[in-house]
Amino acid sequence: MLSFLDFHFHFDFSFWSISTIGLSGLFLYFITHPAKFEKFVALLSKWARFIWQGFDYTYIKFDLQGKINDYLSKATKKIKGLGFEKVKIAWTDPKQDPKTFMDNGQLIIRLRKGDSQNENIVNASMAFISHGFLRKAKYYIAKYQRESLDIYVCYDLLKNEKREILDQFVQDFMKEKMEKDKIADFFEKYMNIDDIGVFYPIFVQELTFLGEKVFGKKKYPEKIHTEVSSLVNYLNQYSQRKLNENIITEFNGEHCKFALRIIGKNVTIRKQGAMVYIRNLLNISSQIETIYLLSSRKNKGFVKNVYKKCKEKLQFEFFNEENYKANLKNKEGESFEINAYMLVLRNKKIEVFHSA
Amino acid sequence: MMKTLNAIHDNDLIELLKSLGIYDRIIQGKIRCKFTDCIITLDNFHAVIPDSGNISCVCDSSDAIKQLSNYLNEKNAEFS
Repeated sequence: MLSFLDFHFHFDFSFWSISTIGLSGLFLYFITHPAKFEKFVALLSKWARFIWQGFDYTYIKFDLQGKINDYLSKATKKIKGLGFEKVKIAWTDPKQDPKTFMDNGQLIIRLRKGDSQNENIVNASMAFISHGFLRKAKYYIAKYQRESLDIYVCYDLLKNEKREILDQFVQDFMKEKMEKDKIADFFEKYMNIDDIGVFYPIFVQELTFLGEKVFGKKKYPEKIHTEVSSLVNYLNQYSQRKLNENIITEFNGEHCKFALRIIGKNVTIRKQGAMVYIRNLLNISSQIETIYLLSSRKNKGFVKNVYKKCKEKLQFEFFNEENYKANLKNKEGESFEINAYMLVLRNKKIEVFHSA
Repeated sequence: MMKTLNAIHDNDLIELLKSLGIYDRIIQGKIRCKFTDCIITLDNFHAVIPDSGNISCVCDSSDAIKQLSNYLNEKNAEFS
């Protein structure tokens, strides 16, 4: 009687249909993650060069590009206005006309055979970070500030690579520099600032803004050096903050002017809701150029709601947002990790970036 | 936006140096590093840059590599 309800579902997955689905998924993944594709090509080439030496060129190029571009893809999500998103290694034609070479003004660096790839990675990373990363801002900061920043960023780029690569970097570049007190001091402060998750989205972002501001204008180097030192010290102090401890919530330099607002004391949210934060935001001085709203990720919706409710009256607009991990300190000073969220608002009166 | 880093592979290095007309002088030990003043050899050669109408070479010491970056920053030169 109920035979019409008797359904048979018959699935026939052949090897080809499974592999097609798999390959399509892989293709889509590589399209959306080009740095991972470069690493994949490097891996294949690394094996293939034992068959044909020509693959050595492919291995060196894509291995370097993959590593640097993977790092850049993460950094550029946290910082706007960096000016570039990718690096490309271009093999030079060895037949160069001397006059043309001199007219072009192009640097050519030597990359060793793939057996010395660790050395290539360390040298190319350091060369790229020193010359390509935050060029505008670094031009105006003190030499020790520039060197400590390069060392830290390169360390950050290489720290997840093979142990031998990091060891080579430490031996070749870090060891000597860290013997200088100022560089070592700043390196340690960068680590503290990075530990709470704000090295890129706040510190490097503010340096990017600074570079845009002073570029092409009359400069007072000593003042800029002092301001950058103050910025590092301020963020380092913030990194040492214990839970619920009060801190100075605004930085008012000549070039860097920003406010930090921590949103999400449970008792405040529960008892007073969004209004207390809205009032606070509307009272922020018009001299402030950037507001960083920081909270636990579980309050992300609340933070966005606070902004949404006052954005018409606020003279700040959405600039960037980020989910990140932060190591905070409890009341006893012990570290604990949280999933955090940051909403960045930029003063509407500030000019947009000109291209790098 | 992309930054391009021009590079030469070990296999092509001699041909490049010959094309630029500096190979013989390197073999004879007549070329010194622009930054550290050490003698450039095929083993320690790291980079070549045009420099006020001349061709300058850079060795592969960490000091020279860092000074190269500072030099490029100060000249506001471009990778490309």
